[in-house]
Amino acid sequence: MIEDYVQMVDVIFDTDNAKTSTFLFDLEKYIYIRMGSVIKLPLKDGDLIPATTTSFECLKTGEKVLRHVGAEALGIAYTGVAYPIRENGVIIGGIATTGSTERESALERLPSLSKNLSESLQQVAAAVENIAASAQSLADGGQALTLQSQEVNDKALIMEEVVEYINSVASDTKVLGLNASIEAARAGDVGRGFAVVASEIRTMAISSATSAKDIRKIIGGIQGLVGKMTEELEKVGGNTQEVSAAVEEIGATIETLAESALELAALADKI
Amino acid sequence: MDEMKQFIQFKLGLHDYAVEMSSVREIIKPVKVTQLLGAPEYIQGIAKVRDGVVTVVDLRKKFKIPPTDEGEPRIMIFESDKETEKIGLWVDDVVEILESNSIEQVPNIIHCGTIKEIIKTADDIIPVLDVKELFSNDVLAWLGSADIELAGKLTAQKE
Repeated sequence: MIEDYVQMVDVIFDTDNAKTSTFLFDLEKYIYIRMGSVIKLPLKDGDLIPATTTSFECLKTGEKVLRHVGAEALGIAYTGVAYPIRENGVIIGGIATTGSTERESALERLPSLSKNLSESLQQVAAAVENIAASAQSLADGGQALTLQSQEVNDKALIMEEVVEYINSVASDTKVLGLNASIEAARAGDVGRGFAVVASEIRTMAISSATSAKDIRKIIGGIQGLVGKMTEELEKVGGNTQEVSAAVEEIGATIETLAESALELAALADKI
Repeated sequence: MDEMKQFIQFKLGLHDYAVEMSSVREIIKPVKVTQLLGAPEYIQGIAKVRDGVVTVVDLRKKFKIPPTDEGEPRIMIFESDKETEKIGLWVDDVVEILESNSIEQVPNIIHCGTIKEIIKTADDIIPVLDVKELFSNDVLAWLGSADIELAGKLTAQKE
């Protein structure tokens, strides 16, 4: 009696944690089906055996039938197996299973995946190294800029000295002009022409002094700007250092990841 | 209209004053002033100018004018009959040469000898110091004393 094998179905089904679908059939229809969680076929107890199944082929040939079906059929790769059941040498039906071969195919892909992972991580590590180098050169550039702005400041100071000199010449010239005017007045009518010259000298001295004052203001502005620039540069320098530290951390993490990937690849090779 | 006269405008502290240009011999930049022991406070000291010696007077001390950083300090040296009696006045800045014929006499109520007249400019009035009086023996004696009232003293002497 084929019904005596019902328990076998349960045993197989439960052994594989209810993943594998298990079928018991007589010569023309399914008697007992436990549908697994992975491969679900549109069959139920009492259905006639479709001609495309391993069960059908098994009944026809009287031999064990094993068929690998790729992922293209049901979206997942599986293996169907059907064994005939004989009583007194006569086929009375059979038992069939369809089980997922996902694990096997996943294991097959594992080495190539871990190799990919390892390679990608190497690329990331190289990129991070580049970033670290860039951050370093950014920091160096910032430092050079700070030095240069210091130089601009120094030059501005020298300029101030020059302006100071111009100012003192202007001040001397004013005194000279005043004394020339006094002298011209003393000379009376004879000195009238000279008085005009003296007055021009004074005017010139005053306008030189005004220009010197303007230049000094501009220099002050430059120094203020350079000061601000230096401040900003210091901020940028701080940020760059933070970036540098972060990149270094990332680099270390990636190194660990790369090691793990290598271990994974070795492990995958063993399975 | 009076005749145009030339003055030199200068500053004591932040106040503007003027002197007649004809009374000024020359203007120099500050030089090293040697302090004189026992001299009154308003005498800053003596300074060597060219080959002569100039007595430098600092009126700010007498009139309690606070010194200022503005301007360029100068010493204004006045004409003198005697080569040995040259007097220089320490000023905080020489402003300009002023030409004016708009001159007002000093009101009698403040007449005290040191202010000769007052120049009226477009937006200001500038007292003109009477150099001759300022450095006369009487006034010098007063400058040296602690007395603030000069007018009474001068009047008393005249009588």
